[in-house]
Amino acid sequence: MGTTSCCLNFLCSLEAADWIAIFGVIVNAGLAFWIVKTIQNRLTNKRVLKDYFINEFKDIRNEYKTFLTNLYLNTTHPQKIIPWFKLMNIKVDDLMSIVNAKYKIDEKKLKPYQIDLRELITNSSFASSRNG
Amino acid sequence: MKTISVLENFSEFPALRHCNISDESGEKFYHKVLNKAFKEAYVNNEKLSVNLDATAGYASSFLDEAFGNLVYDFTLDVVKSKIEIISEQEPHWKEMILNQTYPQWESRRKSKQQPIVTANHEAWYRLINNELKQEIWERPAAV
Repeated sequence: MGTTSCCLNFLCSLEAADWIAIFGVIVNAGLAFWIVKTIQNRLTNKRVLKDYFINEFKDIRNEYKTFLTNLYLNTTHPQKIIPWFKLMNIKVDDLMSIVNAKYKIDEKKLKPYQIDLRELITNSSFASSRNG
Repeated sequence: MKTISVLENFSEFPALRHCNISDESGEKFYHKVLNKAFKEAYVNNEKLSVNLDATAGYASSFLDEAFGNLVYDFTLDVVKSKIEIISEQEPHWKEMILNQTYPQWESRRKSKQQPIVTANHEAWYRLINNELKQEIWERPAAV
């Protein structure tokens, strides 16, 4: 009872300037909280998205590595080579067009490498001798 | 406009350049499908649309041989004015045909460097002085 009446007395004794100051403190604290929370979320989202794309590219690199290893080990069926290249090219093109829209990275950057590798393999004497 | 599709009119698995190294070759596609279809379009004065999509994929040599022979037999100007290539899945094939195959085979035609055939084909059409002629223009080299 004593504590409540003490608080009431304190609040009643506050002047208009004090109320304005308290209101200012509350608004500033809310604003600071909102800004920190929003910026943090945005940074986190950006990072998550970047990590996702980086992982996609790493997966594609690994698929190429596996494919080349199998090719050298002679465990790839020759008639699966061209379909594999088609699928990979479509996959890379899709990813590059998304990355281009998001980060303005040149979407034709990997094209010469894709084409050169496919030419190297499908026009080689290996392909000619095995693709029956 | 007449439309042909590699998938429907030829094969789901187009292979390499010549008949002596692969079954469904560019050479075979040209002689079995493309030459006749283009001749029909030329005679009827209509465009020929060639759809490259929905197959298992291409080697560049397949397309180079097929469309290159077309330029050799019908000239670049006629081919360019009468053909439309559709390649939505792999658009770079269209670019390759237009920017590399066409000019290379046109200069080959001008220098009279005959295309190589590696199998016997039925007589096919060629434009000679704006006149269509059907002959067996080349035969495979004897081994």
